[in-house]
Amino acid sequence: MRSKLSYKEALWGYIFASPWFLGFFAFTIYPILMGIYYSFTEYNVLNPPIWTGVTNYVEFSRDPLVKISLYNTLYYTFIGVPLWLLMGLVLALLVHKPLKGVGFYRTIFYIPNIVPFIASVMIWLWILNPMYGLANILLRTLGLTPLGWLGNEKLSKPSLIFMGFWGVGGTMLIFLAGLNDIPAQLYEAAKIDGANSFQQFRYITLPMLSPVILFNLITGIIGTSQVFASVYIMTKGGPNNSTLMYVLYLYDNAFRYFKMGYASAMGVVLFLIILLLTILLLKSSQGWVHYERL
Amino acid sequence: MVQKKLISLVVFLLVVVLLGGVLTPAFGGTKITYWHPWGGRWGEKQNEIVQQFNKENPYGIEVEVVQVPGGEIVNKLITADMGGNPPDVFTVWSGIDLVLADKICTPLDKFVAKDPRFSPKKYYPGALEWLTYKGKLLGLPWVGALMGLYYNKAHLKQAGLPVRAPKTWKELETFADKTTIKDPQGKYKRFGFIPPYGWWNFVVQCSWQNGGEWWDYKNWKFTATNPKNIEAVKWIASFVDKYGIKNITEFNTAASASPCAFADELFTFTYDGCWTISAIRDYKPKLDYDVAPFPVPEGGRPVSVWFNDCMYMSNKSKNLDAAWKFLSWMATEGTRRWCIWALEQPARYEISRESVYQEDKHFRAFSGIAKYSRTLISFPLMSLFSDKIGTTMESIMYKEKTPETALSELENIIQKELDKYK
Repeated sequence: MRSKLSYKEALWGYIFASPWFLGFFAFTIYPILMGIYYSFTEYNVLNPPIWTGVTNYVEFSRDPLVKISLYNTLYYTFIGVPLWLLMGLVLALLVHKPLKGVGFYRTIFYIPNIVPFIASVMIWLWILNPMYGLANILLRTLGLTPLGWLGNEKLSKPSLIFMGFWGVGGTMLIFLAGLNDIPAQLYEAAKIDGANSFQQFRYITLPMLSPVILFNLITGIIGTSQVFASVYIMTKGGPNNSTLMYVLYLYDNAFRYFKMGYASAMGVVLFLIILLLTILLLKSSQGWVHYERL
Repeated sequence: MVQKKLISLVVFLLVVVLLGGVLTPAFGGTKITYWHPWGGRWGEKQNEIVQQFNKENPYGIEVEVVQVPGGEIVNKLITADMGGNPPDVFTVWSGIDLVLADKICTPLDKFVAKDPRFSPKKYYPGALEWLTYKGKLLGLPWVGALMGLYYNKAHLKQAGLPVRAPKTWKELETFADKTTIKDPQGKYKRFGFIPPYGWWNFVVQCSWQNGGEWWDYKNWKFTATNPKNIEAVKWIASFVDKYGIKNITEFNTAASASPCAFADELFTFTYDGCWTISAIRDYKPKLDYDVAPFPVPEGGRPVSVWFNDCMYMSNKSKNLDAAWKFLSWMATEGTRRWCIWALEQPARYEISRESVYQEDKHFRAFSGIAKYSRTLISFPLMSLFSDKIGTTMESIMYKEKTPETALSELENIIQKELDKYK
């Protein structure tokens, strides 16, 4: 039986936490619930919503631009995220060495993460410009054929993925923290047992880092599948819809075409896709993620 | 003890809020808010013009100016309107969709009916129609947008061509072919002309010149598949056969980094607006160029597309009278001061008669182009149309669909949405 005092203490706890609860319900839960409701309505924002059942979802299933935008988003996510994680891991392994000046390199690799996003997008627009850009100047200097980058339908998504390497400093930091957490005794014991560098990496570093890899994978997939700002500013979905990402198309439907009901349906579907991917990842993690200390 | 502290905190906060309201200096006159999308030196000029109104107006009206970035202003307007606190007056580049204006703006018919300054005869053809929806005038023009053909006279001389604008589409193709040059590696260094196939106004203008129509307002029918439209679109798409879509899109992407690609001599001919004259003056004043109406197809007619930057009055304004006084001043005197400084296309005839326009042959050329202007009347969903025409034209240029198929699909998509607002 809980005492009167403990109830009183709990009550005060809830009272002090209530501003957060109110904010959470008002600005997170309520919009989510309303979004689900609007997904079943014809709602143009200008007039009250009209219940239409699953009409939006039927239209969704027949919309060719949904298929294109989903393909583009999944391409960007499933190719980009593993590559960025790999680069982050490689950089973390390099800067994990206790060498002179390693602090300088850690800083250099992380600095792009503190550059304001819009500024970095403008920089990349210039770097990847087919005529004036630094990337093609470098290619010409090396005697190679300059590329169309964001102006080429086939290269536009790879260009965006290439741009994503700019931000691997954050991933590197997280991996670095994970590496620092691995007990040195494990490596010492492995050396005594005759393990070489690759074996140490394969049987100690990777398993001990697996929770961090899982974390980065899940957050990377959640974040990348909602890519919007870079394509909104740089390409507006072109050329020829090759960079039309799902959230960009959702935005256009919601705020340019007055199809808030349809956009809400797109939002619900995106939520379900990301939820499914996260569940699949977590289920698969039972086979390759190690949480216990060895 | 804790309860007492909580009560004290709440009382303190209440006192602060109430005192804040009491101590705020009271303004004797009427205060209204005005939103505009310009930043940088353009935003400073806009603010300056509004401050001039604040000083000069005899009504005791004070206008508070808020700059809202152009890409966000429509979303913020919708949000503010739904929250019951929109600006009294606002300006939007190219205007807002008429269905939205119909919902959130005050119709101005009863205001302009009594005011001879706003007689339709004072405005270029299309200027007021761009803001008219189902018979209601929903705003006033700030400045117009007309497009002409800019041509580089030096390039024409180098190519041994007559130094004048081409008069027909065929002639434009011939001139453009002869002024297109490649570098020693075979990459395009300069294009004679690349049609801006993603711009709705270019596609519509070419169609109108060819005798086509896009919008039958009286019958509420979107007529993308009009045969004359299809012919015009096929002509636009023919540039892909000549130059290749990959070359065109890569060159366009590269050219977009230039502050003025025409002034940088990346093109001999370009379809662009009056604002480019100021850009050339700032960026390359010695450029040897001229402006002319866009050529017409054989047997076609001269037409130019008109659209405006637009000013509106919110229908939730608590000071409609003051808002109208400000709006009417901005739409006459304010726009005059702006046009003279910015050298933009005036929507009103009398501003075109200012010396700054009369003394410059390029601006005079636009006055000639304006004589043939018309607009899409009462078209409710310009944002949807302008986006979809862009993707439709891309599918044609990339040879994914024939013009007939692509325009038929476009017609179905747009008509379905238009029918919701019949």
